[in-house]
Amino acid sequence: MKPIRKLNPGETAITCLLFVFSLVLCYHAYQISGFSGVNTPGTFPLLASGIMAVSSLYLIVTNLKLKIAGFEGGLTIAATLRRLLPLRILLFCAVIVAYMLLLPRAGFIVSSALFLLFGIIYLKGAKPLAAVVVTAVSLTLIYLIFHFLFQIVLPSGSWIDSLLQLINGAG
Amino acid sequence: MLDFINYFAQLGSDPMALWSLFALTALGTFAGIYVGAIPGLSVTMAVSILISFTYSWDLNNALALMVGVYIGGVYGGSRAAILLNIPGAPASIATTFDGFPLAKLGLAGQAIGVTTVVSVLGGFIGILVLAFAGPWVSEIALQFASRDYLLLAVLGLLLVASLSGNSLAKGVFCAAFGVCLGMVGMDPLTAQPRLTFGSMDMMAGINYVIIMIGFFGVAEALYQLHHIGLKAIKQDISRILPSWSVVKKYIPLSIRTSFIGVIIGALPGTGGDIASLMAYDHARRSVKKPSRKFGEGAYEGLVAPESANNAAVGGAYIPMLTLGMPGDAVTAVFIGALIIHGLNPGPMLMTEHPDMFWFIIGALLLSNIFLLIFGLTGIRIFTKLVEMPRGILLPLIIILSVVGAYAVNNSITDVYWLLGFGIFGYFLKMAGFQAAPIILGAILGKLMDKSWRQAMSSTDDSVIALLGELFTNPISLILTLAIIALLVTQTPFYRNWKLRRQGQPQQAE
Repeated sequence: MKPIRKLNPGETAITCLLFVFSLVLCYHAYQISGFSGVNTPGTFPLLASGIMAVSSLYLIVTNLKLKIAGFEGGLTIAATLRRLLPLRILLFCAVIVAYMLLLPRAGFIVSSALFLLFGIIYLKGAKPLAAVVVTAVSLTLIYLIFHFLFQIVLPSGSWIDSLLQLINGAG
Repeated sequence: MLDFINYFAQLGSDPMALWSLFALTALGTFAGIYVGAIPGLSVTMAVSILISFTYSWDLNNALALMVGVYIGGVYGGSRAAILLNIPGAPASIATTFDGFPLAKLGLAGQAIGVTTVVSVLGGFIGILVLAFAGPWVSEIALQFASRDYLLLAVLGLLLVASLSGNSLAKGVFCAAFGVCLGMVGMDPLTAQPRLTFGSMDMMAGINYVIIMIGFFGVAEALYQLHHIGLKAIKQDISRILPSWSVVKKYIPLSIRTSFIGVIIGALPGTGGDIASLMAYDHARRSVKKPSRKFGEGAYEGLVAPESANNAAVGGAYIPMLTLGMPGDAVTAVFIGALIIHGLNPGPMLMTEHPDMFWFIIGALLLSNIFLLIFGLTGIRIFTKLVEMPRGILLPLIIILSVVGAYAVNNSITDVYWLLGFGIFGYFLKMAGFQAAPIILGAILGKLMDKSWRQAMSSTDDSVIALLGELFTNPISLILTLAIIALLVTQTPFYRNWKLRRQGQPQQAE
């Protein structure tokens, strides 16, 4: 007998969003070459996005069948959201977004140090001094390897650059 | 073979030269393991940097160091794959499937031990083929037409069935999404923008290393936040060196998958990434009684990809040394190094400079021996990574992922892609979708698109003519039959027939 899978919390909603996303991709893939031939730049994008749309639609139908048969968790919308995005993950995601936005402005060292400090104190509950030591050691190692050994120019930060120019100008 | 012994005997007459070669190969292999283990640092990047670094060096010394980094780097990717579920390099994607579950069982030490031994075995097989059958294999590789690359990509995509988890439809969706991601950017044949949504930043396309780090690194880190309170798993490192009986058990699979690695590695444009995925698929289909279920920590799931990706190194050298054509990105850089040092890599290299051919083989052999030594030592430090509290490890993974993504093109846009893939990957994971088919689609989609269009152009856009060629050319026929056989064995009719056949003798008893 084929094993019956249980629905994950929020699976049907996520699959519906994926279906919409597939349709958007299909539309953009169609814009490339339309149905003008089988050997065009748009052939594979259209084929792949079409497969995405069909498979996500199939998943929606099977998910609804499983739902009717009672194979879903039976959670309310609020409970599903709590399972999908607990406060800790939501906050950490927000901090990652802030880190990535800060990266080109405050530079690699400052933004990464702030991110690591916050991450270690919030997730580990570490004492500030211990967090500072771990941050300093790990960032030094990463910077040495990537910047000096592999000569990768990590972002210095537009704010830091402006500040340095200001200091140099004043000097 | 006599040339090889003669050449090394000549080196032996100058002990200093010999010692410096040994030391540089060892240093390269050691450094390579760490380069490979850090996601975002690629062997190609390391070898390219070494070219400028070793510009004024003696060619042999420069090559010894670069060969060491190459061998060590290909192997090193497995470390991060096993310990963190983040492949250090695309060639280690398949290693995560069973490597990380082993680390979750506290068996990372044993997993690294087995990986090291089979990687060295795969490496030796690759070198032996290069030394004794190089010209012959390169002749076969040259016979591969666009349609054969297309068939190879289709063969690889059939792996989706093995990587889909509990739902094939989810696997198919992810693979198709991966193909779409691979299509983003300018079309390589007409320069027409594809799926760029009018953005200039998307014209250059998305490097699949960023897709890989996003879906494995960031998504995994976010997912692990659900288990932040759990204690880190203590790793058993009392028995790292696998016993002979264990090694003996895996030798047949290692040899089979090594040959897959050599052939795929020898094909220009394909390398260890595709080889390891195909080898994993082969293991899933051919091993009837794995040590654990595949995907739950089967050693066979480590043996196959790791043998194949290291054997692919020897394979990649075949077209480079016999024809002057790169087998992969790293050997393309090697060709550059040879040209800088005044050599002309091409079909005449083996006749004009047999010493160079045998020198590289010697360096590869030596590097593999060092790999065995370095691979089986210092595992304790690596396993400490997994035992680190999650509250420290997860922010560090994010930082490494960011630096790794940025390092690919020195572009902040790639970092934003990484974030997008990470968050998207997290939701997919929560809904039971697997990340592996996405990477598979991104890698093979490009190859399939390019090969399809070249194959179609060669038949004046006639699908009938292309189908005809699939059954008239020997290589295409073999690949087509392999695809048909794999598809047939996936059908319920075949499975029922097989069950009935297995059931009949028992009933007769």
